Amino acid sequence: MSQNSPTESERSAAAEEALRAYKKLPDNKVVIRFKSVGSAPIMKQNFFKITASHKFQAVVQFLRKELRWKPTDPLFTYINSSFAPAPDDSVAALFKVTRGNLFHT
Amino acid sequence: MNAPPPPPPPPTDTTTRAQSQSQASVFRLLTWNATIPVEIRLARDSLPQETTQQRGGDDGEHEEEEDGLPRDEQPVADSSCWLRGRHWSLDMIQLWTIINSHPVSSSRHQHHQHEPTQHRGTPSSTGSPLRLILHLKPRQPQPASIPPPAAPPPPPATPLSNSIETCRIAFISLLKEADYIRWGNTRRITGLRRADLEGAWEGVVDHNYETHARFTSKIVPLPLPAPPVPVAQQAGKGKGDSSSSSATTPTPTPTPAKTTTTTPPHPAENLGTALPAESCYAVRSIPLKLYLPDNAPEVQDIVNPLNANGEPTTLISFLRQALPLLFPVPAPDRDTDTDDPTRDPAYALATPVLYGVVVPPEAAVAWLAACVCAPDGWLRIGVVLA
Repeated sequence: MSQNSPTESERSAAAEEALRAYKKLPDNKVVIRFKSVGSAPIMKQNFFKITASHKFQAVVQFLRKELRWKPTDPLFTYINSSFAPAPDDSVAALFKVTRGNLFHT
Repeated sequence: MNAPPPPPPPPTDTTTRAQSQSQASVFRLLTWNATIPVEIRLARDSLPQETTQQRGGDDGEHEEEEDGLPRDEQPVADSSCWLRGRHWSLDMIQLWTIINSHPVSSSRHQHHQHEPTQHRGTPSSTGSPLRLILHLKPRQPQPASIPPPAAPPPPPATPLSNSIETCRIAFISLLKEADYIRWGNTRRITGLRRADLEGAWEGVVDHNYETHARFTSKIVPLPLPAPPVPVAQQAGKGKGDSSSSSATTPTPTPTPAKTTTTTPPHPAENLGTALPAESCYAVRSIPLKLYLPDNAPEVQDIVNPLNANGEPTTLISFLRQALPLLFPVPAPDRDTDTDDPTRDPAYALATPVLYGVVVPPEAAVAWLAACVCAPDGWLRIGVVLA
């Protein structure tokens, strides 16, 4: 083994340090646009900023609050009228899926 | 001066397509039938407190018989365990009960109290493969052979019911999301016949590859050969590592993956030739998720199948872009020897694992997504620390 080669413990420490960095959630925000489809009520304001590290569930909860819908009322959300994301999908990942465009819900 | 011999005639499109289809079928079937050893360790403190107390109170034989688990076991979210229940909450209590009701594990405590729970063989006491239990087991009345859990499981993080219908809807949504990432729309999925779309789900539930393949063959692109790199780009390319010459290779920065707002170019934009529509290199981007250990958030990024040079995007180039701290570009003046001669120098700090197998760094991501993707069309790669 060369003298320049990092030891196993050094590599392990570097890997743990890198993992800690990736555990930090980004605090940036993304803009989303809500668009009512079907019998959904039209909202007064359609554009909102939301923290990118939030789960999509937070978007649904926020939407319910805005619409003043009960938790039992059915609410279906789609991205760009294409697919319904899982509640535990991160907003940042969905934002990337739309390639930086506003993603519609 | 002698002219160079003419290159052999390229195979016809039909031959190439048939070969690619055959190649894809082989790998998809191998992946479908693959099994991986799973070792699950449950820490006592990961169970609800009332469960432990109630079990201890009800059962005078007490704790060592009821679980046989060592006190200092690491929880399931161990850094060495990259298998995760996706989108459906992993019912820890139910899983714990099922494993302990298995004949192998029930006789285990006679031998050694501190051995971890081991489940060998695919069939469980319910007759379903373990992976289906992990992912799809609904909360329903259990057979008499399985004792019911002593306490209700902890509430899920999301208010999703875990009925089969909910799982089916979530699975179809994943299929659509993968298709959206591939093509920018879900026309291929929505244009399918209902029987083919339902076949994707039925195939998973019944563990029937043929049923599922009817869907896969229509949606997942084929691993057709990568398009030839234009001569001008070949001449301009340096002699260094091909992965480091990729335009997608990032400069390692000390910041974690962040949301980008730039639109990357279409992979086929730099090619002079049109790609077949069913080629895995013709897609807009590849549905891929990276799973980090220790409950770190999953990483999803836009992965073009081809880099700016028109070459297939390799796994190491993508990893260096998405996780530059875990997959740094080795310094040229630093010796890349490692203590372990079997370890690839590119994987000095972490290793990507797919179905329990270390993926070679030069593997084309598009080929992996076409041949060894999950049944929902996603390529899910776990990252294990060194």
